[in-house]
Amino acid sequence: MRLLAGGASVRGPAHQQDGLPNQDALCVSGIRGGWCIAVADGLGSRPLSHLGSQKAVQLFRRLTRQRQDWGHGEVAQVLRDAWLAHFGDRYRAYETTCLWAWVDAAGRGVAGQGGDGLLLGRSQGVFKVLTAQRQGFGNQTTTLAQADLPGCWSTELVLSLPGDGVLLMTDGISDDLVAEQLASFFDAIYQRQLRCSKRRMRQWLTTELHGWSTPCHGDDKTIAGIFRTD
Amino acid sequence: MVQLKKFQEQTARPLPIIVLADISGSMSVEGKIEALNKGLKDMITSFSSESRLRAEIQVSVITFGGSQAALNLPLTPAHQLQGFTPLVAEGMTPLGDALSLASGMIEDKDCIPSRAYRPVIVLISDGYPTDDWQAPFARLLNGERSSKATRFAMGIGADADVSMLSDFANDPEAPLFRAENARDIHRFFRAVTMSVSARSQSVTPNQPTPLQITGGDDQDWEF
Repeated sequence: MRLLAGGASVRGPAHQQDGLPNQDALCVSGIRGGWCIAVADGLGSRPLSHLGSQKAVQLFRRLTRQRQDWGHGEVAQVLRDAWLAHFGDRYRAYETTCLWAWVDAAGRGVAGQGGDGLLLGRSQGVFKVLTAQRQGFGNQTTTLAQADLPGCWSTELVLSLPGDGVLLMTDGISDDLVAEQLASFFDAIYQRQLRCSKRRMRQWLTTELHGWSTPCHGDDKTIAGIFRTD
Repeated sequence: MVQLKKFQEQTARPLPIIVLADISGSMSVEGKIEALNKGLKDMITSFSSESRLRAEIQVSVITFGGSQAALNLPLTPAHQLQGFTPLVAEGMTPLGDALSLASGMIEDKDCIPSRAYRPVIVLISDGYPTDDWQAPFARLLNGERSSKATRFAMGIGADADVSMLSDFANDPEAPLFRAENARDIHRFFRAVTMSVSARSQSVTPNQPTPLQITGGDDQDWEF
């Protein structure tokens, strides 16, 4: 079985214009023959959220490396506790969302999210939008620190067939995707991943995200995926 | 060449602003309806000339007068608006009807999609409602989506239902604004315009921008 992973993160036009850093963060890391990926979106209203998002993805990678196995029910809580322990009482200045996935060498793993963003998956050949439909409006964010709220969840993953995979993205991307085209979007990313190395995939995704076509778009944009290719 | 474009929305994220305007008979005196019309016209003109950096401002006007409320202007991108037909004041104050129309609009995901930024509702009235308004009022304030809207309120003159309007406004930094004359109405609209414009250009358009009512130095707004 072959697993490939890729991802990219770009600073949005609004932050470029205002000279602010990319508040999203990304990790794509190989671990014991599998992959762990995470994307995080620091809250625009919090002054140090770019550090909070970076810490969230770093912690997910570190925790995944330390563990031989994740029970999917524990990921959100463990990650939240580690993130809160790092920032302590000052955590509100660093608030962030986080979406994560880990798949082992056998194609089994976990995925989940705390806060806004979109998680798509294909398991045993069946595509699924894993994130529940939002009831409110754009950018109304629950955060990783609120990981005990209903907006935070996780699930088990089984990548048993070629084409199975998981795709995570921050709301800078997901809010501008046509809802009826999500399965085709997932497939387009997979098809490109099939013929790209991790580095070339990042270059291609970066070009695509810089060329985002939705009028007035301003958000930072981050995406990461793991796919089974044979 | 960008290959993922076909999966991307080709319209900007909306920033809806819904104005609930009292056009009951009492608005016809002391220049109130004229001031309301000018305030609305100036606001729409200002929105339509915005550079629309981060959001597309969409405007709707729901009037309540006569015997029932009316959708005077369906939610429309401001840059598509060509003008504004002046409102005529007459009849009763069917606020409950107007609140129901606003609730229906906000809860309808075909009308205001989930990717829209949090709506702004502006309520303007100079009197007491004359229909059963309490239940629609509670529905708007507590609705699954409508409860998330930013709400501004302006009471015009001494006969406005100050208690109801105060309960409506939910911006802690901009409680009910009380207008004593046409100039005050203008100042309120200008503050709403600046608040919405600031949000539309912000890095974080969902963050409410407080109303900043300017001083009364507008000499062209005398009675």
